[in-house]
Formats: sequence, structure tokens, C-alpha cells
Amino acid sequence: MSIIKIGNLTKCYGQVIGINNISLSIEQGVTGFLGPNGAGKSTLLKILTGQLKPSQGNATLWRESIWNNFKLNKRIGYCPEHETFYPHLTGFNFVSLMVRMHGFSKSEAKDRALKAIETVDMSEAKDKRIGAYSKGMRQRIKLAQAIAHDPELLFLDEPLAGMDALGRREIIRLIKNWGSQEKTVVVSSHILHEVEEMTNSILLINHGNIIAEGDIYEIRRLIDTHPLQVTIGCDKPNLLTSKLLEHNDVLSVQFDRDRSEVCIQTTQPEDFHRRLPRLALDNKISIFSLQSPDENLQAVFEYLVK
Amino acid sequence: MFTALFNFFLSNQLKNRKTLIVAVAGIIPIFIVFLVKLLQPFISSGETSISSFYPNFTFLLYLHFLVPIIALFLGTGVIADEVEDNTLQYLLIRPVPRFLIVFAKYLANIFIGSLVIISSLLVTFAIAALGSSESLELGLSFLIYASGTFILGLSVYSALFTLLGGTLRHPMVIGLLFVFGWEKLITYVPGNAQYLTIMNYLQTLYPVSNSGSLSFLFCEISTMTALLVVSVLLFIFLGIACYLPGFKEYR
Repeated sequence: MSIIKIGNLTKCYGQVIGINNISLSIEQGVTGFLGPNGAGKSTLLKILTGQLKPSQGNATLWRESIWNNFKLNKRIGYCPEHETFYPHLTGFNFVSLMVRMHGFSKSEAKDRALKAIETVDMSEAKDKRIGAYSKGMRQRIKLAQAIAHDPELLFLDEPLAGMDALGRREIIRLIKNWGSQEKTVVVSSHILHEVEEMTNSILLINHGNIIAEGDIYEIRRLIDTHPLQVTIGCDKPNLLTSKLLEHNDVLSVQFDRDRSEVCIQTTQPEDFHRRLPRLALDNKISIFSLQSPDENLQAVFEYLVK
Repeated sequence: MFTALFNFFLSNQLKNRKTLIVAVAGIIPIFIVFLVKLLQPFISSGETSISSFYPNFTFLLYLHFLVPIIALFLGTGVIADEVEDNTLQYLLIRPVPRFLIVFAKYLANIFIGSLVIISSLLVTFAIAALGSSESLELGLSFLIYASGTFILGLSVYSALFTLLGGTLRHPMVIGLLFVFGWEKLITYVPGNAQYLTIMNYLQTLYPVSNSGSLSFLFCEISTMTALLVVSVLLFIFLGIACYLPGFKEYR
């Protein structure tokens, strides 16, 4: 069942179109909104959290319109992009006061705040003023306020911004974990490998339009006119090259400096991958490595936004 | 839900820079009274006796200056500060109606503003009454009525400025023009123009004689009419201020 449904949604800011007539549905699990800065990701998240009203079309969560429907907020958590806070409050006070607004008693709010703070590994700094936090710590406390009331649906806007490598890894692990706990997590980012590490289910957004959606590999198939790059390390690169060039889908071949690897471009990736093992066996070519650097989000994204 | 919101705003506002400025504003009358008391032996007219000096002093300094200024300072920020600081988004994603957010913050501000004004009033009274024999009789009833008028004034002005803060781009400028322009200048316009100011009704409720040197500020209104008008204005301003965010987008 679709948790989030958007139908012909348009959002205009005066003359500027923020979101341009998009329709989509999102199911349980982790979904990544991917796009450059200013693509419309945050606008979409703000519409989905009821902060902005659609200019046209509709946005529903569990089949209920989110605009002016504050009761739905009980079931959602939101981690905003901007690093804005009440700097005089301590991290613990901030989270527990926010949780209390979900109708929890003082003691329950305290327990939930402590648990959420522990989840994001901020227990040691919980009694410091937020104003004295580092960027990474602020990011964590933003996450804590989003998860403390145990929402079914989480919207995380650039959740890894400003975090160190260890912190990123930990938050990515948490996000994947939430996704596997029958929760729905929508993560927006402009950094491709971040989203790639969290999920295969993505939505590529640019200039307020969805330019592709679905599994990363499905998206790859959608753009079959865009050649796939494959690097093959083998013991007989010249022979492999000549055999590969017998097929029309192979557009170009390049050797690396020591001629141990061949980089080819093919317009039929699936046929190519099917053909390669047979070709190697028939010609007694030993393949040491097979890489497709092109098959990451960066390549797909760069190609699609061109 | 309301308690949670009110507690949140109170906790936050008490540590806010604005509250500190409001508290400093509350010290100004204390300083002035202290100065007057200090210079009393050198003033020959005897105008500094508590019964003649203190009501007029509080009327001008508190009702005409401190109350509207504190209301302006706190009221315009109810929504505008949250929008400006980008913190409104933390509140809008909670399962609370938007009007309650505005109402809770408004009340937290009234609480803080009242606390500052009443504390300041009590301290100035104590200083003014120091060494005076006539103080206690005037004091109790006067302080109760004066405090009531200040809280009512703070409430009605704050409601107006909360409304301005939620709708206008430069509410502070418009508010200042209203307080020191409209509310003051209209007093000097002949005819019944005074009826168009909030201050006109508030000063009717204030326990100060309207036959002395300040008589030009007053026009004939009964206490009940004044109370009714101020209550209606408060209800209208606050009602609209709380109602509007339900339909407004904050980017």
C-alpha cells in the first residue's frame, strides 16, 4: 500500500515554479529524493509535512490530505535541512519539550527524549546548550527530535550534512534500520553516494520535475540510449577487444596505461553482460576484474540532468 | 497540549535575549524613582510626595511608555521571530493546531511582560514610599488597579502587535508609528478623535485623577465602557492573530 501519494502536484512561489506537476506514490521502506540544490526536494518535503500548501494537485499521507491536518503530524517525524534551533535550550530540553507536544506526559517525554538522544549517540552532550554544539552534533539532535515520538513516517532533509565519516556511517545504518522496521523513510540529499548507500529506491528531481524514479537499475535501463561504461581487467586485452568490437553495441574501447584493463562503452548492457562469460570461455581469456563505475547514481544523475 | 506549548515557550523565552532587554526596560523606572528620591531634599515644591508624584509618574512612564513598548517588542515577535529564526518548522510539524501555537506563545509573553512590569512597579513603589507615612493606604488599592490596567494594556497591545507581526513585513516600524504616532498625536486633535485610540480606554481604567495637569489626555468614558471596548479589541486582535496562521504558509 502506498503511504505517500502525490497527484499532479504543482507548487508556485509567485512566478517561480518550485514543483512542476508531479505525481508519485511511495511505499514502506527507504526512498531517496535526489537532486541538486534548488531542485525542489525541500519544497516537496515541506508539502508532505503540511508546512506548505500545494498550488495545484494533492498530497496525501495514508490517503488523508496533509495540508491543515495537524493530527497526521502525530505519525510523522521531520528533520529539517536548515540548522536552526533554540540555541539557549539544552539538547535534552529541546527534544523533550518537542516530544511533549505530541501529547506525552512529562516523564514519558523525558524517557523518549533520552532514548532518542541515545540512539543518535548524543547522551554525553545532552545537557549542553545547543548553541555550543558542533555542526555534526546539531544534526544529530535534529534527528533525535524527529524520531523521539517513534513516528511511522520519517522525512529527513539532508540528514548527513555536516557530519563526519563515522557519524555518516552510523546515521546511514540507522536509516536503513528504520526502513527495515516497517517504517517509511524519505531522505533527501544532493550527494549521490549517500543516498546510494541507504536505498536503491530513488527519485531524481531537478527543476521541480521528477526526471526518473524507481530502482537504480531500472532507471539505468530507462536510459538505454546512454552507453554503459565497463572496465575489464584480463590477461589478453587485445584479443578481448577484437572480439568485443565484433558486436555493434560496443561503441568504443580504451586501454589503460599498462594495457592491463580495457574500458568499453556499450549501449546494450544486459546483452553485454550475458555475452562476456561465453566470450571469455571460448577464447580462454582470464578476467580478473569487472567494474562498471558508470552504474552508480552519479553517472545516471549526470546523464539525466543534462 | 497547550501546557506543553506554554511550558516550551516560557522555557525558551526566559532565556531569550529579548526577555533580557524587556527586563532592562523594567529597570528604567526604578532608576528614575531612585534618582527622584535622591534629589527630593533639593526640590523645593514638594511635588515628590508619594500621593501626588507616584500615580502620575506611573501613569506616564508605565502606561504610556513601558506597557506599549514591551507589548510591541514581545508581540511582534510571536510569529515573526519563529519565521525569521527558521524555528517555526519544528512547531508546525507537531500535532497541535496552529492557533494554539500563537496563543501559547502570546500568553507566555504576557506572563513574562507582566512579571517584569509588576516587579518593576513594586520596586518603584517601595522606593517612593521609603520614609513616607501616607504610603500604605494609597498603595494597596492603587497597586492592584494599576497592575490590572497594565496587564490589560499589555494584553490588548500585544494582541494587536501579534497580529501585525503575523501579517506585515516590518511590524516593528508600523508598531512604533502606532504607539508614538497615532496613539500620542491623536490626543491633540480636537473633537472625539481620542475615542480611536486604545490608550484612551486604558487611561480611563487607570487609578489617577483626570482633573489635574494630565486632564487634557482624558475624555468622558465610563469605566464599564472602557473595560468593554478594551475587551472587545483584545478579543478581535487576538482572534485574528491566532486564526490567520491556519491559512498562511511560512517558507
